[in-house]
Amino acid sequence: MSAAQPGRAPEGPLELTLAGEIGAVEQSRDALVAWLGPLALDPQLANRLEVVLEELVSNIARHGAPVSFIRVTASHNEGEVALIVEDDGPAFDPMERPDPVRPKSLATAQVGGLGLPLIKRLSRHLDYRRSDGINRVEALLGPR
Amino acid sequence: MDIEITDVDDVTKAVLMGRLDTTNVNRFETRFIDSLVPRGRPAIVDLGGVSFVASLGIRMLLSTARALSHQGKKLALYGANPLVADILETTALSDIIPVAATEAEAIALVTG
Repeated sequence: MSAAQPGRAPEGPLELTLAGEIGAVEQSRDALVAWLGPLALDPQLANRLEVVLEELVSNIARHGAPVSFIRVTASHNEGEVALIVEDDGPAFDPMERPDPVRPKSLATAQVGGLGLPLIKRLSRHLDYRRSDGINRVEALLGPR
Repeated sequence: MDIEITDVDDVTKAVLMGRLDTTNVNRFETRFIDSLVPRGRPAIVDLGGVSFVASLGIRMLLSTARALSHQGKKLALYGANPLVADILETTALSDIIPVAATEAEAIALVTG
């Protein structure tokens, strides 16, 4: 894992590999927040990155079949941040899930499964690939 | 994550403090729902002390609002900081659960 020291610009991408369990949510968040610090991004973008990472990692850790690792990479380029989350669980393409319709009332609102729509709406671009048994989701976020 | 429950006239007021993230909501959701729903009264939730919300936190708020609605009672949110409000708006939660700026407005929304 490479996490930037506060007060100086990150020297490169954030790269970390974690065990495929729920603790990865908190560990990856702490690493992302430390890495983002020196970038001094707009607070809304930094918060959105934190939310997207949380949703991607928790989806793998909470819903997947056994996963031996979760790998997180983040890189920054001209105000945009690319988050890549990889795992060796069963194939799961978040792009295949239809977006829920906007709820008209409390009675008809979807209570669960809110994470994927949140990822899609917060990301400028979202890409899924699977190769050699590895899921790879890339989310690109930038200023509004 | 912590919660303070008080009564404001006939309304239950819940003050949430901390992060509504996956880890905390998994530990906290049942306690939150049990603090509001069995009272069978309208409820307002002060989000001013909430620094982060993700989908499980939104699910917790939706589940609570829906359970209260089955009793004919409303729930309203207020005081969210701009970052939390951004996520509530992105999920369209604010379309179906009233969101107010102040406690007084939230009370008016659930008692009106």
